Amino acid sequence: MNFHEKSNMAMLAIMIVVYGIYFGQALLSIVSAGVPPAEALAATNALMVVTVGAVTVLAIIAHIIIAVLAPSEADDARDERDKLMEMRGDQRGGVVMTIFALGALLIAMLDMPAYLIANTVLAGLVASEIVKGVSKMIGYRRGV
Amino acid sequence: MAKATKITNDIRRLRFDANEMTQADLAKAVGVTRQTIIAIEQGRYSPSLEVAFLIARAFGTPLDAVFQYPDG
Repeated sequence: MNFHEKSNMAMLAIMIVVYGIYFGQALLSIVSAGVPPAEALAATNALMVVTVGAVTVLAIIAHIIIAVLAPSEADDARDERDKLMEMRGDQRGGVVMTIFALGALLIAMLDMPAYLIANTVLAGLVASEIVKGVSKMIGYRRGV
Repeated sequence: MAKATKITNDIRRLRFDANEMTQADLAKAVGVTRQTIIAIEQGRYSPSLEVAFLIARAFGTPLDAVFQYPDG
């Protein structure tokens, strides 16, 4: 595994776990508790910032560990294969992002609470990154 | 199971013939990562024409001595 493959695996694991907790527990409990939209927006705003912050901190720690374990490979040099994986991942993730963007648009057009729009956009960003990560993982393992 | 390309190659044999050149040495000569050389050797990645020519140059052989494409 080269540095980019390890980085991809780490980011995939971090995103699935952290955003899984956010969407699966935190957001679900707010929605199912029937909290008024204004309070729900404030609550999810705070949780969203904490979650994104947690992903960023964990990503930095993971990359430091990956670099320390294999210092000779810890550069950001990308060859043509890495770029191809990145490009294909971006294409597939872009499709997912588009679907979620249309969902957010529909929610806005139906005049639904703003926190649902914000969370649909976040879900789209997360889902597209996860699809991109899985695409890269399969590409690195199975070949392109 | 790896998704094989139709392109086959003799990189492993050519490395052996070139004083047992390591994958890392070939990667350095070509300007790609060692993992990319491994993927090319195993038929999991078809390199660009430029990288293919650079690999051939590293062995001092013509391109078709390194890579082959089956008929049909």
